[in-house]
Amino acid sequence: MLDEIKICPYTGLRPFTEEESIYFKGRDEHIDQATRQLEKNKFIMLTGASGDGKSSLVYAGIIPNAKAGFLKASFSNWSVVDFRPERNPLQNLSRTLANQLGVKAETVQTELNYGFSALIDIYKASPLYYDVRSPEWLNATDKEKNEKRRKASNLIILADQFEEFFTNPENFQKGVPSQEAMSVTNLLLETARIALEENLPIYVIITMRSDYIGQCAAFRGLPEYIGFS
Amino acid sequence: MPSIVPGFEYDIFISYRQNDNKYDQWVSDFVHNLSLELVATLKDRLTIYFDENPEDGIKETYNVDKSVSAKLNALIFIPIISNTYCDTTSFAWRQEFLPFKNMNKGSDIGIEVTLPNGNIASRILPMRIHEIDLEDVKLLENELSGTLRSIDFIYKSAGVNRSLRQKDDNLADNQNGTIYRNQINKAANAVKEIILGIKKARAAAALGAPSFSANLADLSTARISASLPENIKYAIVKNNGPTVFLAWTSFELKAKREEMSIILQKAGFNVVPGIDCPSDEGTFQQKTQEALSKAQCSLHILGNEFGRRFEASEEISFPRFQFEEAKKRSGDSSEEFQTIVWFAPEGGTEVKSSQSTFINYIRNNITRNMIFSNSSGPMQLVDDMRAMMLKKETTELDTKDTDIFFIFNQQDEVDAQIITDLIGGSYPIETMNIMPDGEDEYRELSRQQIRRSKLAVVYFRYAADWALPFIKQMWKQVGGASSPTPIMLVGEDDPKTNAARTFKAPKVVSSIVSKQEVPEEVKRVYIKVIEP
Repeated sequence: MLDEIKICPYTGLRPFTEEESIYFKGRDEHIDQATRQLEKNKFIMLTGASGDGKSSLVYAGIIPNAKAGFLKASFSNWSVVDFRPERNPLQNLSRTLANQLGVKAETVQTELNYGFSALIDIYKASPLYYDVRSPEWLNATDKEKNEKRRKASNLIILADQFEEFFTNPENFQKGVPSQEAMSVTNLLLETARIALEENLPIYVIITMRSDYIGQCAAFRGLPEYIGFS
Repeated sequence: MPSIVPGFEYDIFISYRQNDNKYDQWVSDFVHNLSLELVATLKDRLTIYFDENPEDGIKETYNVDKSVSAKLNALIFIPIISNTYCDTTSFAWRQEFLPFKNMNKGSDIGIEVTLPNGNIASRILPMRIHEIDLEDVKLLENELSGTLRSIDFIYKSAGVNRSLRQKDDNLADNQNGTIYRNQINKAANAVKEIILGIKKARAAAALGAPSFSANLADLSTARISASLPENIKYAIVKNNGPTVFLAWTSFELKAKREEMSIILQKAGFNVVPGIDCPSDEGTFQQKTQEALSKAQCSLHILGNEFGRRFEASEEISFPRFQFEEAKKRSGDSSEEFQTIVWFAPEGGTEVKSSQSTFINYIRNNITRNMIFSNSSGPMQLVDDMRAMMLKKETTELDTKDTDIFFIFNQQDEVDAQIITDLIGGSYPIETMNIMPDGEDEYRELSRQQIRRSKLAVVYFRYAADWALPFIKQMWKQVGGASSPTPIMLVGEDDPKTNAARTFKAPKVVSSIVSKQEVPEEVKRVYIKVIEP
């Protein structure tokens, strides 16, 4: 019945995935630190040299840890909106967010174009969220509450390889970020700020090569958040 | 100018065969470069005895007792080990190597000194410039009490076995991967360490503590006297970290191992063994076990080659023997010994088939306290090791011995209550309800309670998205394949999407059954696993 399964934990040089988290060992302390940071600040930026395991730490460490119930949050379920900026950061963010919410990407992108609280508003209006202080919740039957609980989900927004905001000319030219790059960064920072202020179960994670820390000053508010995390 | 230590004539004595300096003046260049590097490494100005002109200095016909005893009265003896150095009839061997060893064996400092990092090093510091015969290695090890610790200046490629030159640093085909500039630096650093060790021994002797060791674990702070020299107090604090058994590697990884050793020490670890890999199989096994017994973890660097095999068994190489010995300690449930394997093959070079088999064997036998790392570099690996080794002691939480430990998510608490009531009539059971915003440290609590249970059960109906990540994390936490407690993942077949929610791994049983069948399924698994 037992001991029949052979396993192979080696992934080569690519990052560990969430599925391979059982083989990702030796970084418990880093995972715990990041988890505590997220619980406290709702935001974390992971920086480091290329290939030093930032993505593995998130995908095989922080996210499985949260899903297992070890990151204290409002709900049992977790949705992960992970995207890379590439050449269309807003489109990429919209697509993955829409995918998690089960709505059209174009609709989400139109909303996100407004920046600031747009992402929070979309989340609050979705089945992923309910407010225990709302009349709707207070008047619901036990069955209805259970239904809502099962659908509800905490949200992780993961901007992986944030340096692509600087390396792609569509996002950054002559030291100046594009409008789209500014919008997405604004959304990430505002989402984290409001989540902290209103104690919403939304968590923002950014991974970036440390070579680009100096250039973050081009984005309003971002250096303060780097210091914050 | 005499030696920096009173009572000695020279700081360094260079011993070599004249033939090794004829073709390209390699020895002369080495001495020149070493002296320049020493100036940049040590504050003290060292004196080097080097007989560059064969017509000067010690000659075959000299009265050795008179000339050698004066010139060989040096702190460090550097023999340039070549194809011909270990010739027991040669002048260098008879009149320099053996006399230095014999002169110092019974001296107050002795041949071996304790370095500031706590390791032991010989005052005979060999520089090896050729791959020498096994017989010569054995001869040297015999004279050096079974150990040979050399800094290698060997250029090796297909059909080539020559001394490494400064201009070779630009060539890419040196199979050893060593760089002349770095080796000179290593030589200077080794000299510095030995000099500091000798100075420390002298200082300690002056303070009336002749056998003082800076990294003795039981050295309490209360014993640090304010009158001790500053450098000694510093050494006590700095070298109190965990001890790592850094396994000897196959030959092509020797330079990588040396680099790793330095990084580990800079990160605060003590590194053992501090000697080169013994060539004699019996000595090798003995030294491996001795060093492992002193360590809290082991690090095994594996590359493309399987390494030297034992004469009696082709299946066992020197690296594999060390891994197996470390694995035994990691498997001992009474210990927290960590075995870390770092697979770092050279890109573009094929991994030998025997090595592939070995690597696969390791991958498929990862157990508690074992880590297989693919870190991109040594610094990241050492950083991870440090985080792991220096982690805080965990506190004992409120757990108890039980037959079944039943874990579920808040979403399924109503169903779980019914099931646990039914199971509880037959077996002692502990339950845990994971709430998203609960106060408990669920991971640590689960880890400790699972260890005190005969069977752990993770149950889900609606909380499949929680159950799978949870069981994976806990399986890893309790030791995976080596967990003493089996884990059962049991889900209900309603909703139907649960049918695909299974987890296959050693020591895990996964079932999807109807609600009515859950209690019986748990009991069935319990009986089968616990009472086979």
